[in-house]
Amino acid sequence: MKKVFAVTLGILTAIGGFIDVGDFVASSQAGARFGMSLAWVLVLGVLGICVYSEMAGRVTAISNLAVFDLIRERLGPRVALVNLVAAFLVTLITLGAELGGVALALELASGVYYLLWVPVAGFVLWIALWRLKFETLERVFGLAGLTLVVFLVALPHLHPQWSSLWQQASQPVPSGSENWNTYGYFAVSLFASAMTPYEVFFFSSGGVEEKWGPDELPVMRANVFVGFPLGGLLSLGIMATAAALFHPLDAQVNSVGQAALPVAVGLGRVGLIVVILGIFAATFGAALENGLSAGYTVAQYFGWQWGKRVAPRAAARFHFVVLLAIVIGVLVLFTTIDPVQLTEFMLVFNAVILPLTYLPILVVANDREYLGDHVNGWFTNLLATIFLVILVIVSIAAIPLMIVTGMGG
Amino acid sequence: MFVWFHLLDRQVVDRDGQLVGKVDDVELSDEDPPRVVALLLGPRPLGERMGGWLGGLIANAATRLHSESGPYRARIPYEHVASTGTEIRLRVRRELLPEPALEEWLREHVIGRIPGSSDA
Repeated sequence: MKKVFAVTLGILTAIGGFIDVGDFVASSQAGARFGMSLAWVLVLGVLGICVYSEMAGRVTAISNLAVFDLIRERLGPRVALVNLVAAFLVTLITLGAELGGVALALELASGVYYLLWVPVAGFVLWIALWRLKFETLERVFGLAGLTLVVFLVALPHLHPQWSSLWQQASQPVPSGSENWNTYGYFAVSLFASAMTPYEVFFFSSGGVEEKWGPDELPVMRANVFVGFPLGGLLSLGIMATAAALFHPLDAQVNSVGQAALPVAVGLGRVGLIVVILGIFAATFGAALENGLSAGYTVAQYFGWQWGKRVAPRAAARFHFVVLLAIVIGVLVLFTTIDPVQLTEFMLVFNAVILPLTYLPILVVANDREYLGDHVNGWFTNLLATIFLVILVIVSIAAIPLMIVTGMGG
Repeated sequence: MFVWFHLLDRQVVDRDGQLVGKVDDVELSDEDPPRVVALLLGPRPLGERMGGWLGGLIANAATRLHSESGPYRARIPYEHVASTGTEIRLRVRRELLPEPALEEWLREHVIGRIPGSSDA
């Protein structure tokens, strides 16, 4: 019974923790502009993150090493350093975008301008990372993020034409005034939102924090193979409500408030309150993950003591990097860049670094020295190799598509 | 065989599993074939091993960050290595090794001064 409870709690946390500001922005924008015709990209991305998270989790459970340990060991110090700089900068931008999402949710709730909330959110974020236990951080915001299920609840209340949603989903081509370039741009963003690299940095480092061993493999797999797809279903729900409300009107989504609107229209005031809570929880939880991931990546490259298991003074360099990342995230927002635009940028740069993150995981997952009998089977390798090809294509296409379309136009 | 190939860039942990650093370089004996005499840890050996402008930059930065006792460069004699595998475990405790200057400075001047820094 206790075991069932632990597994259920883990799965629920995985579902609620799946959504971040990137999923939110990419899914609602794509839904508004393309209906459900990009839904397949989300499905593909969720499958990709499942395949690679399971590998990363397995490597961690067996060898006690996290993703950036593997990157340094497999790619050597020089390439890994380039990788580190890229991953660290992208994590900072992502942290800024998530904090922007937190501040915008607070603005929606209070009416107070979001930039005034940014330093408050940054400070509370740092306090949470400084004081709270790892398990508490993960559970509280994961479970609170489950409130985003309101998008699925709101969908029938918008009285969508189910047949046309289905028709869009089954015809993966740009519709109306859209062309293949914008279609490709949003496909790249959506794919990156599902496979954002910090997710595996955090997932594998969290495994070390929680002292996974071979016994935890079934629980880890349940979280990945049940929790992540259900989390992806929330993303699809966000896309579908936007497709139902905005797509027929040819309206675009340019703010977080607009992205929350379908829920308010469908469920009224209560829905609005719940969706704001959900956006807050999801973005704050993701900001926590990015703050930690900034520290994890640097500490793992250099071999420093890291993590929430030890007192901060025993891991001073790690905690300093975390603090620095939060300060930079706040400063990025103080440039007054629009957080939604920052999120769009963040997704493109995440797309660029995808192969650098995932290739070493695949290589080590086939190494018997690390995994013994737990190395990949042929089916996992087949899937992972197909995804690696996709990751490379997405990575190469990201910047050209961003330039050609002027960030989606 | 190239023993150090299985040492370089791996995580070094102390007797109790605390993280010490990465094997940034190794010191070899003059014998033929050479044998690993010591593990070298720290940004300076790392920078020197990497070479090029990037390596020079790291080694330089590490030298500038040094404490009075000189730039951090932990040399761990190979006798202290208890086992090698996906991580390198030492026989000794981390406290017996020289502390990295950056860690010490940040603990004394930044992190250690914030309330609650001693609570795990």
